[in-house]
Amino acid sequence: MTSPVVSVSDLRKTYRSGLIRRRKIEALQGVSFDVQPGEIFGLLGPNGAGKTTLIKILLGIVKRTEGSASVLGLPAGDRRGRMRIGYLPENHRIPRHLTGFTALDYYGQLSHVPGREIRRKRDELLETVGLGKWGSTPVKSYSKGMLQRLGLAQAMLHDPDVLILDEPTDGVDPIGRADIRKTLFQLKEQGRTVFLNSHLLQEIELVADRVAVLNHGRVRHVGPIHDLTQGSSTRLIFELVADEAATLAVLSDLGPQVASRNAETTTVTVAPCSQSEIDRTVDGIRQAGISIVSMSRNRQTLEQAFLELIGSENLDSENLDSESPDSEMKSESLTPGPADTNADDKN
Amino acid sequence: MRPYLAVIRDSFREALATRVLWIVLILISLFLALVAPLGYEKTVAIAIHWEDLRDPTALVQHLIDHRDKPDTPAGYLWSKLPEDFQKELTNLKEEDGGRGSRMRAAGRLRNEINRQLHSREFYNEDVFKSVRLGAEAAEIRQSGLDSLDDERHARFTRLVFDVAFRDFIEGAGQDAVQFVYLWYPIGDEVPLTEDQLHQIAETVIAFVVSRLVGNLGVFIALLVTASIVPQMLDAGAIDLLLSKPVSRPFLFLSKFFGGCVFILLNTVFLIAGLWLVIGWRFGLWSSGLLWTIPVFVFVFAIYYSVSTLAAVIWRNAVVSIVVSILFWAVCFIVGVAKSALDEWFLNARRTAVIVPAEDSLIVTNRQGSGFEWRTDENTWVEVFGERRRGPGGGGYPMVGPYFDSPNSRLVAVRSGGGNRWMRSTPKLVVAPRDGDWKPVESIAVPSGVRMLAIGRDGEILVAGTGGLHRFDGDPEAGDGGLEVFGMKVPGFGQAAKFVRIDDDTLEWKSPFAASHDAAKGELAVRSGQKLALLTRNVKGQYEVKTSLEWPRTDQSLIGRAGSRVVLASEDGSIAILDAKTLQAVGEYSPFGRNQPRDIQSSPDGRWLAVLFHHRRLWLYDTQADQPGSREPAGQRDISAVAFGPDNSLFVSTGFGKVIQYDSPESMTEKARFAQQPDFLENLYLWGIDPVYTIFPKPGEMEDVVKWLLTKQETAATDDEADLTADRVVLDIWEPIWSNLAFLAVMLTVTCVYVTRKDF
Repeated sequence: MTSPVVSVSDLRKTYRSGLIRRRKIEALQGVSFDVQPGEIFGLLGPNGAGKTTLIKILLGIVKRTEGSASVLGLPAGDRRGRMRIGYLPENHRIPRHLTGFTALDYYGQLSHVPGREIRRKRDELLETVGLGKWGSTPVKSYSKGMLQRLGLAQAMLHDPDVLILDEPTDGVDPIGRADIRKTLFQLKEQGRTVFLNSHLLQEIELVADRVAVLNHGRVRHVGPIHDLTQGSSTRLIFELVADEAATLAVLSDLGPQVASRNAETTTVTVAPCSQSEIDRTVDGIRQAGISIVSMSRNRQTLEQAFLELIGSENLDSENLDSESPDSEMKSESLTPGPADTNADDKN
Repeated sequence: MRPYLAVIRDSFREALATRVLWIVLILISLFLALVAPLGYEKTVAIAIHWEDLRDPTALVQHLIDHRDKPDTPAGYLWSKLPEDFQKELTNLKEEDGGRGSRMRAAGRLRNEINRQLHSREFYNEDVFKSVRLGAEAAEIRQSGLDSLDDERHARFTRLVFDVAFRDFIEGAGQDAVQFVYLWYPIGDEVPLTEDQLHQIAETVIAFVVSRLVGNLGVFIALLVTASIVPQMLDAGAIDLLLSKPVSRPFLFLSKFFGGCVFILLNTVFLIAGLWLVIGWRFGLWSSGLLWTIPVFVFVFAIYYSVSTLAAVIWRNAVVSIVVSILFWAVCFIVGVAKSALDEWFLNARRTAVIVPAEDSLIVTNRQGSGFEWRTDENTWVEVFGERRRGPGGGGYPMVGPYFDSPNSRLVAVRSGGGNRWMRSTPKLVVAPRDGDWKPVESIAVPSGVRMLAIGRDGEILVAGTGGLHRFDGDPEAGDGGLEVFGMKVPGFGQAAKFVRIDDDTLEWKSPFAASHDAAKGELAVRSGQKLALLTRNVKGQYEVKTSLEWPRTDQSLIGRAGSRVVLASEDGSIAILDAKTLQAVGEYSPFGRNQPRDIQSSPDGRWLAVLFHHRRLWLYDTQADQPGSREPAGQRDISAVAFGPDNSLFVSTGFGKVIQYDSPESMTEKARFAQQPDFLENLYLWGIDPVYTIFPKPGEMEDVVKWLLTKQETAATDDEADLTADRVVLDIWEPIWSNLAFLAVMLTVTCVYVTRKDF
């Protein structure tokens, strides 16, 4: 069995703020998951869930309070590990006095790439991200999408084994997004691991093999996307030639819900069910002499699954939070920011 | 190293991309273009400058007194003056105008004389036939006056003038420079040698670059660079940097040193440009000027270290600037407080002169106050009169006091106050022991007096550019003037007087120094570019026994001990000469280019002690003809030195402490004269000085710039031409170490903060 590229176990991070009245904010509360080599792993969660804190811990930008985290078999933040990581931060800022070329030169050398090697690779790399003609242009003239592409290029410049991309498609047009997706698949084909954090769940759904859902600093789900989209939330939709009463009577065991009705047919949604239940239900309908106009499985989108999962969590936590001392975590406005907090660290 | 070099290289890119850099570079270019046409041409000294007039009002009076004698030089000069000016001077006489109007008249008279110097018709052989021309003037006349070009002719006229009016006008030096801008001369020629010009240029450059780069440049650089670290710490920028395989402290340090690039570029451009311009136009290729580049970058780094610490804590450029300015203000206040206390109160207390007066010990401090040691009370008691206070002790320059053993009194020459430009006439002062050393002011000494000596039988001799004079009369009788109802009546009772006792064969001129050997009745003199040994003839007149050309123009002090004459020059060199032939037998530079301030010799003629302005003492054994092998305690803090009648050595350190050693050979302590420090001294020693020591001193780096350019560890505060006048000791190494330590602490604190911080 191959060892995981990223391994996080019972990871905790507590920020402390305020000089006199010290406030504790638990950004991560025992997060555990693994990322396997060569997979595209998506990290999901609402604002304030602890995603950025988790990424920064993996990169050593923020120090963990408890638990363990490793990247490529090395402790998170280890300089040898960072040699093999490419990172694209959210809302990154590339100094305005640089051009596309000098930015790659600068960040490449920060990653210990020799100047000659950078000059050899930079044209191709800019071409890959769609900035082939913009290498000599100062970045102050770049659009947000172009800056994202340049950020992606610098993250790939030193051929990292792991790419950690925070909102890589933010501000990028649909064609650019498609290009980035294509690039991600190419990286996957090359055996590289991509750790993706994005608010655009459709993007994640299109590229990720597995996802982890974080909420309030805890992992709510880890696994393949279809586990999330085809799990308990999967519905069956029957369009039957029968009136409403007859339809409900036949499907009473499955908790039917009438979705629509017209003069001849009634459309009903039933709760998730196994294949044997479906077979039995179809037999029952036919035995009752009801014609089946259509029958379809309603597969949820990732967004629906996410909202369903997080929505119920947040409802539960709101109830809990009303009695909890760290109720700051409820709302985005009280989300901890590392800039103005002091960490209770464990190095 | 590659990542960190990339950060520094990026700082260059960033600086070059800054508009401010280019604006500053353009301004520097304009400044250099403005300075480049300034140059000089070597010429000979012709014009009479204000400093050349020994007593301007006396010269005016002299002309007025001789207006009816056109066959005398003064009367002839009067006849050449414009009529309106003659009337103005006559009215002065009639109105007996005040000193102010006489000084104004003297100013115009100087201009009229300078005009006459350039007139080929002015020299009249009949009028000046009684004037004994010096060697240079005689040589010029011999070559034929009509064949001279205008410049040579004017030079001849000036030399004639110097001799004809020697009591009023200082003799002209040989060399002068004429400043030019492009091809146009600026003002009169200035009597300076090239060496002197270079010295002045170094001082001016030190001042200009300290202001331009050390103050203005650093401030602009702080404004420009204040945003570098906050921008680096912006979310999105710092994440990207810290995700790279780099060390946080080294990343920060690279950014810090990269921030210094801005001032480095500007300083290199300005200083290297100035170096080229000054080298090209003034022939002064000063390597010290180039060394100021790292000094200014260092000064900036000190302020920038504060700015960056504020930046990593608050991540705000404006806060960084405000904190830097507050830091500057605190440093400035601490520096000024220390300096004010040093200069105004404590340095003034340092001993200037030690006078072993038989069984008493008298010292005078830098303020000119005299104190006698009272063994029973273990304290100094003021005896010689309070002087005014001022920076460095306004009592000096003062000549003496010396102990007049036959008459049991102190004798000194001191001025009544004023400043370096307008000092009141120096007078002879005596303080008899039986009058409790209370000073009695006698008559004014001849102008230009630099030496006071007590001859055999208490004879008072003074020497200077006005010649060698003996005091005749009773100095304890005051100025001898008649007083009516407490008011002096001029012209009455001038019984006491100074009588000239040299044979007039020596041209008494600046730079001047003299030393008298009472036992042998010999006077060693350095006058202009000549060394001479004068002995007394049977008539009591002093005549030149031996003389030697001394082809130097810098100031010097002269001393005499046994068979040796010592000449300590402004450049820190000490020449040991044979007292008979005046030939050099040895040369030393014990303390680089530091200036000597005093020379003392032991009564037995064995030891010479040369005290330097940076408070170090150098001893020379004339018997062994080699420097002394032992040093007294407190080197770098010695303010005065003297020999007792028993050849013991007295050395003063600190604020009035005197240690007596039995001899410079054994350097065994014989006695100690030190009173308990008072509140002010304790406050300084235990409060202000320790605080100042641990406090950063970016402002004091200006002293390092001065030192780099002048190679001198002291700077003049009063009369630069007088080596005995006060100079401020430039502390070079303390600010360097102190600032280095501060910089290291600030960078360490910032690195620790950056390492521990979550971004």
